[in-house]
Amino acid sequence: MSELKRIDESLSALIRGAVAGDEAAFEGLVRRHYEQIYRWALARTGDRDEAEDVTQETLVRLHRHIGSFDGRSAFSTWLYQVTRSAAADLHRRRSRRERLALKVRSEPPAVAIDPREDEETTDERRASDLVKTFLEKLSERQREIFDLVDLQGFSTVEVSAMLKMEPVTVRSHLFRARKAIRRKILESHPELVEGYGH
Amino acid sequence: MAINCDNAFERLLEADPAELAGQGDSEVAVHVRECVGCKAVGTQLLGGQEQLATVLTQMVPRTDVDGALSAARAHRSKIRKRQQFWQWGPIAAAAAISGVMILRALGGNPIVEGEILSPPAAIESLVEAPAGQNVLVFETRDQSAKVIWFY
Repeated sequence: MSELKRIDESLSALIRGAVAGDEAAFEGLVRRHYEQIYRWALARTGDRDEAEDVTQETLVRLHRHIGSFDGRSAFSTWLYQVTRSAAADLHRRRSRRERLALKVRSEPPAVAIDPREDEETTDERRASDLVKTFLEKLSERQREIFDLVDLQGFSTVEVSAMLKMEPVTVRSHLFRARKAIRRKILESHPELVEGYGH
Repeated sequence: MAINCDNAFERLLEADPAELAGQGDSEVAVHVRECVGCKAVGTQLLGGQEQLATVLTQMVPRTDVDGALSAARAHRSKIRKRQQFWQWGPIAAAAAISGVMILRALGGNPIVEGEILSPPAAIESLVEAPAGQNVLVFETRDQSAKVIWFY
């Protein structure tokens, strides 16, 4: 039996068990997808702390809705949609809270100290900065499509299923994202661009 | 339009990573293989994307999976309790109200010994309130008992 097939079968067994309410299978499923969920959340939000919250919320939803997974789509597609919806809801809730806080606040806000900021090492901060530099100029949609296709290797057809979007639309977002990111990459190498008359 | 160095730049910005590496038969890939300048740009773009991919892959959640799992379970059980309350709470309340209504319908309005009915205006004037206070006198079912309330 090939390694790939064995992996597929063990994943299927975990999914079947989790859908049937087996806690150990659910745990196994989470262990296999935990970092992937975080990565999706990170690409979607562009922020480490928000990505942590989205990951946590996704696990809660996964625990709650795993019984409704009917296998009509690939598990990764379904899981991605759970993650996206968790991210969208958290973002909405956070925006509403911020709007309310702005209305209520009469004095200028004190500088918020995030305890997690102190835990970040220099390397982590440099990595966060790099990600922010490249991804913050993109829309949420462009960011997630670029990450899924160019950095994680999903095909545009797979991504169109994950996002419930036409492949042609996926490609259009992808091209825009590539252009923005690649222009940014070339900013630090003007000598390469000189010959093109830009 | 055939690709050349004048129009290649925009195409390189949109090209698939394999094309940037000069792989395949597409116009961009063929041009990248043949043109030193465009190949250098393609290599630089691929390097930048790979660096970004590496950084993103190295970014892992700070909470370990066990912590996240137990937090998810705790949160889920809280939600379940809340759902159970809203599922059974209204039913229990409806049952209690129905019970009270049935008891009332069966037994009429039972009178409790000593229950206060209403303040009789006539007696009120016989009781004098201390300075700065008012007084109310209540009649009860028991003819020999009155309630006097200074307030």
